[in-house]
This record gives sequence, C-alpha cells and structure tokens, in this order.
Amino acid sequence: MNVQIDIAGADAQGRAFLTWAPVPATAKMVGGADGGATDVVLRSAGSLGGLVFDTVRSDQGKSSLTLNLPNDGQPVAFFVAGEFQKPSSTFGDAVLEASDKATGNVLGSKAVMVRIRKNAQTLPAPERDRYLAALGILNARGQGAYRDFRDMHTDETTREMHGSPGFLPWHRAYVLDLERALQAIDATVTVPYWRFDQPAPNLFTADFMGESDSNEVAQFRPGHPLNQWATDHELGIIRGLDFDLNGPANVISETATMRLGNTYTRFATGRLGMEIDPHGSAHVSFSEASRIHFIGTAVRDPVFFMLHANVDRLWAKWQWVNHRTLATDPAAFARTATDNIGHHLGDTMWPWNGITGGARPATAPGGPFPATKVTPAPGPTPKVAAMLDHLAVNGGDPLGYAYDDVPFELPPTVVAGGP
Amino acid sequence: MNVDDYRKAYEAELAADAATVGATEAADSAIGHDPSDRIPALLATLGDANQSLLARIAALKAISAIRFLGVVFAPHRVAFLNILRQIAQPGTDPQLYERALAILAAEKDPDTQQRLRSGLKDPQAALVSPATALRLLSFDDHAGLADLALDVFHKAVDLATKEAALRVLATDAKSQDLFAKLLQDKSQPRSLRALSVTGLNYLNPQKFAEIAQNIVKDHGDYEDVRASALGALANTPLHHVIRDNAKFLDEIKTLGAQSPLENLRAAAGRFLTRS
Repeated sequence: MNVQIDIAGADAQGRAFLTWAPVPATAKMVGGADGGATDVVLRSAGSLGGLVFDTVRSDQGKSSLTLNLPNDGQPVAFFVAGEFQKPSSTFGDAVLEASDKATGNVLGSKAVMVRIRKNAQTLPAPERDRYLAALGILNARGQGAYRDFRDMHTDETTREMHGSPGFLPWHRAYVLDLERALQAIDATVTVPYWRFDQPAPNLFTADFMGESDSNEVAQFRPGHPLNQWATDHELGIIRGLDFDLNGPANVISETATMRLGNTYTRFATGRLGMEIDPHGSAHVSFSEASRIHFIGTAVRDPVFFMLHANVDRLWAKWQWVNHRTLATDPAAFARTATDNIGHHLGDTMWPWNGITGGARPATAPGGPFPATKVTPAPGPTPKVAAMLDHLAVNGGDPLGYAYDDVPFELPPTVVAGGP
Repeated sequence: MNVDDYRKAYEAELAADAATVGATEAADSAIGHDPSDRIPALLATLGDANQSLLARIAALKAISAIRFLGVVFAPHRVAFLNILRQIAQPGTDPQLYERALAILAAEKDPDTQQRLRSGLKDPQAALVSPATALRLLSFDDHAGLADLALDVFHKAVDLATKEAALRVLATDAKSQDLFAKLLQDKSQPRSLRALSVTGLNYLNPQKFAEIAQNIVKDHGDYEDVRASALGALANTPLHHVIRDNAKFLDEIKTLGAQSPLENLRAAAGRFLTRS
C-alpha cells in the first residue's frame, strides 16, 4: 500500500517546481484495500527546501497535514506551497513525505524544488554557477537566443517599456521571459537579483558577473562561462563602477522606495518615481562608458537582468505592502493617454504580441511569450494586466516565480479557499 | 516565519525609517509630479562652468537617470547634447570631459566619432587613450572599426591597447588567422591568448575546436589559457561533436577529477555537465 502524490504543473519528467503560491495537488492510495480509509500525514521532509500544506488555497499553510485517504484509490485534493524563507538550492532538496498516521510508516514521497529568486550577494556558489552556465549557453558567443533579448530593448523600442505606466509590467515580463529561457537549459535556475541599495561585492567578482579592470572591462576567471560573452558584435562586457564596490550603488534605499507613494503613479512613474531612482540611478551608477548606462546598450551587459529583477522585486514588495495587485484597483496602476499603446491594462505587450508597424517597432524579436508546464500564465501574448499579480493572491494562475523576501499573502478582501 | 508576523516586522521597519526622514520627505512631496520639472535646472547646472565639478557631475548623473524615461526626456535631448559638446572640449576637467565624450559616443555623435578616429590615427590629436577610444567607438556596432583596430594592434606597445583592439577584431572575419596565430604562440601574453580563444571561437568554431583541444591536452601550456580554451569548448556549438571523441572525453574526466589546477578542474566540470 503506497501513497501517490500528484502536483499540478509538473514537467515532462514529473518534476514539480514550487514557489510561495499554493498549487493544487492530490494524494491517493495505491494498492490498498477496497473499503475503508487511512489517515495519512503529509509533511515537509526535505534537507533544505520547506513545504507547507492546506486543504484550501490559503496563506496559513502548515508543515504537516492529515488527510483521510479512501483505500479504494480515490484522490484527495490539497494545496502545497514552498514554506516562506525556506527556498531550495537544487531539485530534490524539498520533499513531500506521506506516512501512515497510525504506524508512522512512510507510504510515499515526492521530491520537488522550491524555486525562488534570491539575492545575488548571498547566492550559494553552486546556484551561481548553474545560473552562469545557463546564461553562457543562452548567449552562445553572441549567436544564441540572448540576441533576441538584446534586440527587444533598444533605442528604437524605448517607448514600449520606458517613460509610461507599462514600465514595470513590461520589464516583469521581460525578466520572466529570460528566466524561462534559462530554465529551458537548466530547470533549477532562477534570475538572482542585484540588491543595489546594499553592498554587493560578491556580485562584481571574477567568479560571478566580472570584476571591472582599470580599462572598464569585466574580467572573469579563466574558463568562466561568460568569458565568451558577445553581443552586437562586441566581445566582452564594458563596465566600470562609479560607486564603491563595498558600498551600495548611488540609489535610494528600499525603505525610501517603499515611501515613494502608495499609488502606482507616485511609486512608479512620477517625478520622484522609481523609474528614475532607484532604477535609472542604478543604471547610471556605472561609468558613462559602461554599456548598462544607456537604454540602447544596457542589455549588452547581463547584469541588466539582475538589476531589473531587483526593480521587479521592489515593485512586488510595494504591491504586497500596499495590497496593490488587483487590476481593478485604480491605485494599482496608472492611466495614460488613449494613444499610448501598450501601456493600458488591456493592451497586449510588444514584442510577444507580434504586432509591428504603426506605433509599434518595425520588428518583433523572440516570438510569443514562452510557455511552461509550471503555469499557464501569462499566455503567449500577455496583456499588461496579466503581470500585476505575480503570485496570484487574487486568484487565477501565478506567473511561476517568487522572491525570497516577498511572501504569498491573501489580500484582506480575499478569504482562504477562494476565489 | 508566519506571513502575519513578517508583515508586522516589515511595517515596523518602514515606520521606523519614515520617522527619521519625515521632514525631508514632506519637502520633497511638496514639489510637482512631472519628472520634466527638474530637467531645465539640471541642464543649467551641468552647463555652468562656474559650478563645482561635483555639482556638475551630480547634475549629469541625475539627467542620465531621468533619460531612462525615454519620451519624457526627448524634448530636452538636443539641448543636452549641445551642452555635452561644449564640455567635450580641451580645457574641461578630464573627469567631466571623458564622461561627456562617452555619452556623445553612445549617441553616435558623428563629430565625436570622427575625433576619436582621428586620435587613433594621430596620437597628437588623441582625445583619450587608444583603448578608451576603441571602447567608445564600439558603442556603434556599425562603426566598421576593423581596419583601424588592426593598425592599432600592430602599432601598440601596451597590453591594454592591444587587448582593446582584439576585442574589436573578434568580430572581423579577416582576423581569424591572427587569432589562430596568437592562440598557439606560447610566447604571447596570456591575456591576448585568452582573448584569442574567444575571438577564434566566434569567427571559426571548427578551427578553434581543433586548436583548443590540443591546448587543453598540453600539460606544458599555462593553466589559465588551457582553462579558457576548455571553458570555451563547453560553450561551442560543436560541444556535442567534441564529446563524441572518447579519448578527449577521458582526458577531460581526468582533469576534472585529478587536476591540481583549480580553474582547469572547474572548466572540466562545466564541460562534462553540459548536457
């Protein structure tokens, strides 16, 4: 008699990758008697990643849950999520274990991963190295799929993603698109964030994103996957730091960012909005010769995506603190001129929508938004609104990623179990 | 941590921080919400030679951050570039001068590009070092720098300039023989050989794979060059073909397991784990 556990969103190899957002799962007896039922205890039994369980979709999951499983094999539904602040390091270090409540005998288990975006400064070396290896393969000496990402963010495409309300949703989609491309290479990888308001000396090293030399060239350890980095027919990464390596970049702090305002307009795009500081200030914390300093060349430097993961994290945290994840909440997003295509909640976003010409750029590199087994969201041609609730705290499908310091918390208007 | 406790702790952190900055924030929030409000004053500070260097650099950084708003900054772009052109003249403090020059180069300003090119041909006319000039000209991926870079490479005596020139040549199809020669010449500086790894792998992966395998197997060659070559083999489109070479694969397995050289061991690990 065994217990079979099935988790929604498992990939072709049956592997489940979880975040803090609860996902549906079932447990059922296999090879049991025809009648009766067995009390089975689900618990988190991994070496590192933690799991929590509940019978409804909630933010109060516990590390164990007792289910009464019919012996005839009828499945019983439950919800499972990563335990906040107990992320995995690799696949299989989080384990869901099912045991007989009466005897304590283990009846089944399922290895999973609590796959979470983490602070690059404290990222364990094995995770760092997997990220770098995947990034190197994606770049493939300037001839890989990274070229599409490079072509998305240029001087010619600026209006799609800067200076308007769509700034944060577009970049959320952009980082997620890259992350999914990396996960197609190595499913255990996430994009680490560069917390630019804190010292991050471990990031700008020869082992990680490169140590800038006196000629403003990022230098890597021999054999490093980014030693072969190339974009736009440019070999290597031109980057000089205009801030103390052992200090923060020249940006406002996270708490100051949270105080920018509790409406999206003030927080994101206003005179003192975060698109300028900390976002723009982080970009220009590098020397003027640095490619990351300018919109048109910033993506030549892969630190771009770690910078923007942090921008996205700050938005996610602001959304969590202020409960601003609902598209119908007027304070959760900003209005803009009717003809400002691509920046309204109901607009599809370029380039994933494939629309070219007119107000849109002449080409749409990269194709539709990549699908993943983990979640159906945001779909192949995402709208701006699809990016607002990354953990789906208001219901629906989550985007399949989470940050190590932004929890899943149901808004006051949503009760556990619904919608 | 329970999510309710986590929220309370974070809200307390925000409240404590807000209490320390209340007065400043109140003053800030009294100003309008249009980002373009700030731009004229910042441009004036940047262009005013009577302002301190620090104030002018701070204004430049603030403008540069606002430029990320794209269309919001567009009406001010011409005025900004004109100020930069004034700054990028002899006599300006080098700290400000080089920053202005870099922004103009990033903007593909024709006059700036021409001045940088002239400086590479005639050191007397140079605005900046040759290595810096090549880096700035490389903002423009259609700059067509190969012939100039090759000339700089052969004439240069310092390593930094040669390295900068090779970075440009790494995408020039005509340069593959140069890279092959440098890569196999143990008397060349190792940094040039390491750059040749990337350059040849970019221009001719087949030829690179042949040479790189020999370098990796050569226990008499330098560790960093061997590690660079092996790291690149892990990232070449021919990776799967190379893996089919059983003898070479055994060699890499041995390096991964037994080499006392850390970089080489790590590169071997990456080669072997690449699926």
